[in-house]
Amino acid sequence: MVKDILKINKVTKKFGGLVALRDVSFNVQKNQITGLIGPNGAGKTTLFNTMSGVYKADHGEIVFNDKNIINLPAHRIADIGIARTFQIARPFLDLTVTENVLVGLGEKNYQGIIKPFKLSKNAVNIKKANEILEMVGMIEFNKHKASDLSLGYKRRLGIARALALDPEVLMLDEPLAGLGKDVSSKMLELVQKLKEDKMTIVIIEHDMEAIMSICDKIIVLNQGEKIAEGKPEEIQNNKEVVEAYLGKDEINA
Amino acid sequence: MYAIVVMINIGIFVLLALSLNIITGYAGQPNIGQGAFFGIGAYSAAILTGKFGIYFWFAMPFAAIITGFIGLFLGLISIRIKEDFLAIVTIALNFIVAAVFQNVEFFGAAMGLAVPTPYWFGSPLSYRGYLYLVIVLIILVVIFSKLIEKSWIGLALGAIRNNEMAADSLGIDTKKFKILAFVLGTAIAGLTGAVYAHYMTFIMASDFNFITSVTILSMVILGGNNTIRGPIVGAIILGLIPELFRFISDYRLLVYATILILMIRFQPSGLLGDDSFVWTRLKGLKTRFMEKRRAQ
Repeated sequence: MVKDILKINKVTKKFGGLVALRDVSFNVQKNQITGLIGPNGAGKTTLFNTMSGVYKADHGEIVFNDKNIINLPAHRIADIGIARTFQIARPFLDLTVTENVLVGLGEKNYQGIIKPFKLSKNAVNIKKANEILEMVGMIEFNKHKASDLSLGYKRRLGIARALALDPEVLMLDEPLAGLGKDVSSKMLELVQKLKEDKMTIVIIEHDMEAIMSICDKIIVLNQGEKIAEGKPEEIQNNKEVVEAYLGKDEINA
Repeated sequence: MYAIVVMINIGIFVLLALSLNIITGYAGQPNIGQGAFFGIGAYSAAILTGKFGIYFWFAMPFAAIITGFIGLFLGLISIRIKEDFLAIVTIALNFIVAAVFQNVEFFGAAMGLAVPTPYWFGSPLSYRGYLYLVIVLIILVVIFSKLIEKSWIGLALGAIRNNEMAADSLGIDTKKFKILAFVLGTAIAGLTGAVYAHYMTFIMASDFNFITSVTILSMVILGGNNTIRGPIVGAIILGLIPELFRFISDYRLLVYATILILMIRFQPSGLLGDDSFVWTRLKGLKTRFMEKRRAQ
């Protein structure tokens, strides 16, 4: 029996007159990879930003472990157990790679006024950070500044940082964009490894081959609305999805 | 005697540069109005001791609290207004504060405020006493800065300095930590102001104008923003220059502006920043020296 860990229910987000998301609903199942695809401007990143508290939704519900978390501030959503990465990697450039991960490990120490003054770089925390770096395969860079890293490793660092929160759900925003073939396939291996480690993953990605190969379920957005949902093979043969990407077939119309 | 006066003056600027470093260095928030908070501390303490007859030693922490409280409002503003715009707000704030001191009768207006002499175990605090006081405060502020660097608050501020959105996504309440940085940084400036007011025995609005703020900022940028050694060295260099070359004081603003432009263009991390020309070479020398010693 698969459990719905995250329920997105009729979420609507408007920017002035533009409806970026219209009544989007779907469920995310525990320990599965849920893919979010759609043409440019479909509202995928807007949905991510709404789910992670960056944007305030106009209405709708996001239920995580039976609790409505919609419109909680971003740092609260991170606390609760939903971590995310960004399309542009957003590393903390002037901190070292280990420090970048430590920031995520500190999650429980940022509350109140006294706790933040506790020392952060003790042996236990450094060890934990290095274990995470080991897992994402970048331990050899732990003493480098994040600004020294290549794009691929900056993305990996984004994932490492998010994992430091020990989340139940990990949301990845285009982890493969701009990466070469080798780096890209290694990133996919990492995502698959995370799934084997019982992580629940929601992923936005434009690389169709990749998304079809790793996802258990795919949600298709177009112009702010969900147009399809199903297993990869169902999505591949869905007429509406093909039309959204390639345009209508004029001859048969 | 002259040497002690110069050392106290420089010590006061060291404290101010370290206080600004918490805001511009650790939290990465622009602030070209730190002089205003220096002034708020000075006037608060002067009024507490002069008008209400409170002991200097109680007035000093009180002045820090009052200043930190006003710093909290700047922190609140920083949540809404960011980067260049926030820099402009801090400049405006400096002008407003200086204008209030200059024009409100309660603050002595254009006549300034005379400040009573504090006592230390029955005898008036001497210049030597002020020097010791300033040195003790510098040591405390350095320890406090080190604590920030080594604790979670340092990591939280580091995350905010680099990328607020990402910091938020990792469970950091960015609003709270920005406000905290402003409160701590301004409170230390206020504490310094309290010492300054009593040491000078007389204060007026022009002591805390925009030029003072630019001076403090130049010290931090010259030495190295986001380090402890940087602001200290910057304050010593810029504090000594006018003593060594008298004529420079007439061209102070020209000198500060040139320093700011040159540093930001060629050494944005300052003379002693982590990846500055000087610091990387000093570190290279140190490792070579260690290797030599090991070889022997």
